[in-house]
Amino acid sequence: MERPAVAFKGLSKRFGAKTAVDHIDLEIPRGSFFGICGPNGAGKTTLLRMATGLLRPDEGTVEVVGANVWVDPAAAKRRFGVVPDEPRMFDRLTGRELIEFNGLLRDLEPEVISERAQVLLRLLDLVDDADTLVADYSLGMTKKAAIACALLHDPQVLFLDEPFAGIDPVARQVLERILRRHIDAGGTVVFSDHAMDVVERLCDRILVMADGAVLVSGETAGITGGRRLQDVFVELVGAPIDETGDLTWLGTSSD
Amino acid sequence: MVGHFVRLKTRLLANRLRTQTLLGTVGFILIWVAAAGAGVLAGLGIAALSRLTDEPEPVLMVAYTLLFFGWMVIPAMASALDETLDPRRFELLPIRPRNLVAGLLVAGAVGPGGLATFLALTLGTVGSYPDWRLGPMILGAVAVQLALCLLIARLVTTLLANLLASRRAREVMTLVFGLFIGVVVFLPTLLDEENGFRFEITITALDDLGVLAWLPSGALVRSLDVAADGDFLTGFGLVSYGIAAAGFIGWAWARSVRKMLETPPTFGRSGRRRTGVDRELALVPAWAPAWLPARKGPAAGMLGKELRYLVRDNRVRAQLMGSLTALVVIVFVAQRDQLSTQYAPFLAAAIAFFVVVGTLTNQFGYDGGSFWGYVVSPVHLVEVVKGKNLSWGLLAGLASLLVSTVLATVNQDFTHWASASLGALAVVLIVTSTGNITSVYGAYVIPESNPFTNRGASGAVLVAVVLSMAVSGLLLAPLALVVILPLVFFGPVAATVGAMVGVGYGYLIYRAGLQLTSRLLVERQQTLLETIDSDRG
Repeated sequence: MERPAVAFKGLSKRFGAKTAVDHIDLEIPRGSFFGICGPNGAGKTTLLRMATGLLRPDEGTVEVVGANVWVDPAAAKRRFGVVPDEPRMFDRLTGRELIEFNGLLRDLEPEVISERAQVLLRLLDLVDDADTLVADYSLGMTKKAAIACALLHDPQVLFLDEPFAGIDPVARQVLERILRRHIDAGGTVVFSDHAMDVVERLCDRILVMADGAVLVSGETAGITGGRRLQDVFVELVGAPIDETGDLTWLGTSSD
Repeated sequence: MVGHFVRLKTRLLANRLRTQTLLGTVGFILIWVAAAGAGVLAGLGIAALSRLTDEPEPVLMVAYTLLFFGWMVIPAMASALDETLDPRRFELLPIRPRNLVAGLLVAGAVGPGGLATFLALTLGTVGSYPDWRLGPMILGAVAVQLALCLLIARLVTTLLANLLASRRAREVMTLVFGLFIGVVVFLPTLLDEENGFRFEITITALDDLGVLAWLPSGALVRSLDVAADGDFLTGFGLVSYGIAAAGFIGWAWARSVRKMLETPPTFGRSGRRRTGVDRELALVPAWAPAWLPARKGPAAGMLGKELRYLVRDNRVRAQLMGSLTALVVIVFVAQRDQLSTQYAPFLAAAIAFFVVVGTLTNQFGYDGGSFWGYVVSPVHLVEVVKGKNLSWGLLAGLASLLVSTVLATVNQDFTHWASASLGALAVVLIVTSTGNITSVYGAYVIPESNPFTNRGASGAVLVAVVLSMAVSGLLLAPLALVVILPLVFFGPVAATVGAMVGVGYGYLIYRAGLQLTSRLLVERQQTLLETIDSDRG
């Protein structure tokens, strides 16, 4: 049987009294375009940080294509690439140097780095700024540089935390195409996002979580049942009671 | 409104204590105890000197003036460790400027610096003029002096806040600060003894000049002196002058705060855009010889990255320039004393020490929020440490080699050249070893853009750095013995042999330190990541 791309087994994380992730058991099949959604504070980022070795779980394990992230981190990290929500890069390097630096850290051959860097810079429209310091990049350009770094070593699984936030529509379309290409080549994409329309359009499988627990997980079509994901999501996480009536004072200022 | 600021400050201090580790809590308490101790000692010292000279006025005048200038310089150089003093934090709130400055001023007084100054002023003044009739005058003088110190610190820091955000300005400031420290440390040796640089003479000279007496701080001291002679009217007049000066500084500060809030912040970016050319990789240049061991792989990446950061990162450059300034002062003193090449080993060792100690004790702090980049890569973090060690070792080694070679060439005497170079290498190995451990245990972030956002420099850092320095000293002692004793008793050849033994010893220490660092990195990776990932400056 083929090993899943990602397997969470009894994964838990607490911060003081708050349970950020509560015993999550989940397998993400290879070749999936997997979306994680949930309201703010649901535990999405915590889950992704544990999956990528940035946060040690209190209980449970994470395996990426069979490699345990905390037992054999080097093997696991060779298999995935990461783009965090607010990527802070080594910004005193130029875009080109940053990509090269990531390739060297991953022990890639200089010729391979060079060849792939050229392609990624061109594809992500960073050629003109390749020799500008990352410190001088806009948020969108920094995110593109982070994406290039995450893709450079041809990972089997890509973890992206809100990858589409802060980038322009053209770059978004390019990124979508790159991710699709990655899936078509047998890769797996796991990403979190608040934009339900994006998740619904791109993902064949989704996970909806709230308060650190899984509300529902499975194929997108099966979960939505022909309805809009936005409506299903609101129904699942529970729409807040409309208490806007209490805001009687709002708009009464005379200044 | 002022009460809100005091509550905010005390709440932030309490919260900081609540979220600290044991080491952090110990350090936090130590800072306060040290501040109180320093304040009491300074106060008693001033009082004792006043009694000793039978002339309290000049002693107290120098003390008041030093405190005033100390508050002018130190908070600005420390890049304001307190974000509650950043006016921009409050710019969206409808607070009247007058209330804002009053609140910020009082918040500035709540802290170890305020405590130490208050104790030093009160004890020093009461001890210098132990006369109950002067009670109200002493109260007034201490209160106005404290206000002067706080106001000048706020004025200078606010004026410099935007300036300090620029990389060039920070470097200039570091240079000025390095020179200032250098002059203070080496002042006694820089002045000829024949001219009699002695404490009493200096004080008398300053008193004779009368400059200090007309500064606001000096006027406050004079008010006590004239009141002690029964002339209370002149005394009140002089205190009023101090109050007026404080009012003027306060007005200037309020203006600078208003101006700051009306001006968009600047950031320490280079703003330099190079032409976009589709060219080859640059981190490891193509012209680098093929036989170099660090041509590819993580070591090459780290070496390339660190060497670029030496040139491009303003914080690293500032550290480096501070070290070099200290070195210039040492070389100057050495030159003045016509230092013979016999001292070359010590000079080279000192240079190696200064170059590496500034940055190697907090290697990950400079990476701050970028640290995750190492964590998600398959490379073991100790390889990252090795790469950093290699680049700084190269720099320190080259600097030491240069100095020993220049000294030998100028004196046309190469007999100590080998022991100097080898001794410096041993120092680099030992200091790097302790620096690696401190980098894992006492990491803190160094803000890049907004100097008010330095939240990382906590008590834990203080404890870690002090411990690191103490351990470094202990580890360096055997090295000093194996170089100095042979040099004194048997000459340069024996010293060279001793230095070779020292390099072996240094290498063993380095390997042992690296092993410990590797283990600590596995254990503390999470803590380290959380500590330095909070950099949002």
